[in-house]
Amino acid sequence: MHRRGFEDVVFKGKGIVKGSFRGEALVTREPISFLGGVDPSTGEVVERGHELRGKILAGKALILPHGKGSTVGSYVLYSLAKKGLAPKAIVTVKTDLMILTGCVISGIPLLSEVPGEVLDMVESGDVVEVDAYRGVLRLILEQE
Amino acid sequence: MRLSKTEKMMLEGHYGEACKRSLELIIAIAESYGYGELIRVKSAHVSGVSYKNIGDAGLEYIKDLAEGGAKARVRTTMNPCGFDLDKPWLFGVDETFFKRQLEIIKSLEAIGVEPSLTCTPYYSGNKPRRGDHVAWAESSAAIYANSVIGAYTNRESGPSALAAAITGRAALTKDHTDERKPSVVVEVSAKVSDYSDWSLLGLVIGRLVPDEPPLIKVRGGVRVTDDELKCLSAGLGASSATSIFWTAEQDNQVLRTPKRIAVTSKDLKRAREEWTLTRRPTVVFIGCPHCSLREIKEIAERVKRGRVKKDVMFIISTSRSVYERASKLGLLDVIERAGAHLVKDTCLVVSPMKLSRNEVVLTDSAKTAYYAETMTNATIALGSRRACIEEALKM
Repeated sequence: MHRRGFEDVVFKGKGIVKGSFRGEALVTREPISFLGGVDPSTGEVVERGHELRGKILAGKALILPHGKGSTVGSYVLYSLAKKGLAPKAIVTVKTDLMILTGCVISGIPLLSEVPGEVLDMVESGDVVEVDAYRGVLRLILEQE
Repeated sequence: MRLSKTEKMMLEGHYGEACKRSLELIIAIAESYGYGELIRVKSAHVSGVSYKNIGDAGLEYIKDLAEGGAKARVRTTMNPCGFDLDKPWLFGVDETFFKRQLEIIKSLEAIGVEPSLTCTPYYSGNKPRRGDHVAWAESSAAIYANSVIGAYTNRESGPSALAAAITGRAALTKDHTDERKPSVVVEVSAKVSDYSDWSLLGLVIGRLVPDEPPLIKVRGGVRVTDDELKCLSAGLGASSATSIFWTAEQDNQVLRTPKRIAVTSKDLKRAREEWTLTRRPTVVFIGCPHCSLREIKEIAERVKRGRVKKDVMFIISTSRSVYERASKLGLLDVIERAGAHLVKDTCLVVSPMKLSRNEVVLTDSAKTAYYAETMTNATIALGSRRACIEEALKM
């Protein structure tokens, strides 16, 4: 991590599916299963006890440690993307095959291997810029 | 990346557009997740077969590959679908679901995927040998292949397993080498005896360490069967991203990493309490993962003197191949005479069965409990296999 003046906080990662997105972050420290954990007709997190339960993934930069659960999760992500209900970008600390494959076949920008501290320093509702071309996650602190 | 002549030809489109796209996906995985190399695989197993789970988008994805001339280059089996092909009415399937489900299966068959329709391909002739490299999706099956059979597989996703089937290649990762090692020791002091204990233990371990391959030591070194390890694989797969575990009995490797966690009776009890039976069940479900022939025999022995209660639907699910053997051996008769349903090709979670708020489902599978909780409206309870059978029957 390094700071550019007092403006942004920048984290390095590995751009895996190229693309970029600037917008609202949705952050969780808990892994997500796309099958069962997310309602495929609304894109809402529905897993009982999950800290994002009730939150909508659509249009956000989803930041999480990694995926978990069913290997069918990639198809669920693909379905969400076809309906415009998928996150606009995904950022993970560890790469897993479910999210990786889901992002490749759906064309969702994926930035991976960001430091774990991202999950502490970025909060849901923050504005972030995910740049999977350069492999950078930027937390935007300046006023829009 | 170093590519063989065949792989270069695949990328140049000599084997068709679908094969080219599939290899591109495997290469993308190898470059970002693996060691930047490919490995040849001997078999594949694909998940993402039920129309309930993959929907129209998934159907189109698979159809595109089939129409693009994709052909599996290695033996490939498929996961369960939304209904028993010979009794589709049992789970209240409507016409659209029926048609689209068959389209998915037909497209996969056109690619050369066998309609095994089971999450336990290793009971249906697709059983790797120790040391084989394969490309399996279905988390319970991939974990079982690595941990119980001693094969090497990534925990493939549905689409990546299909791409591996079509190209005969997977991404070379740690999971395909002997660098795979436990990074945490789990000391289990809880008593684990029933199938439901094993699946719940897997689920609890996955929650505690969702991305670390565990060495699981059960106190007293109980004898554990492959069927029980299958249940452990399923529970662990549901709550984690892990692709392998070890048990002390299988492996004496000395760990350099001293990280240790404990699972006590209290931990299992607390997890079990999330799914306590408070009302009489209306549905009793056994068979996640699909039952082996030995389990079917155990169940037949227990139900033969009983009769399923009028207001209970008792479902036991297994694979087509085990079902056929159970039928020849007279076990199917025993189970059906008792009023239970032995179904193949499907399970509770992948079927479109409508379970309303008034229904109470009792199962011995923590994986089913975990998914059914959000994928149905019913109240879910977890009990031992014995409790499941006793609740279903009037003796």
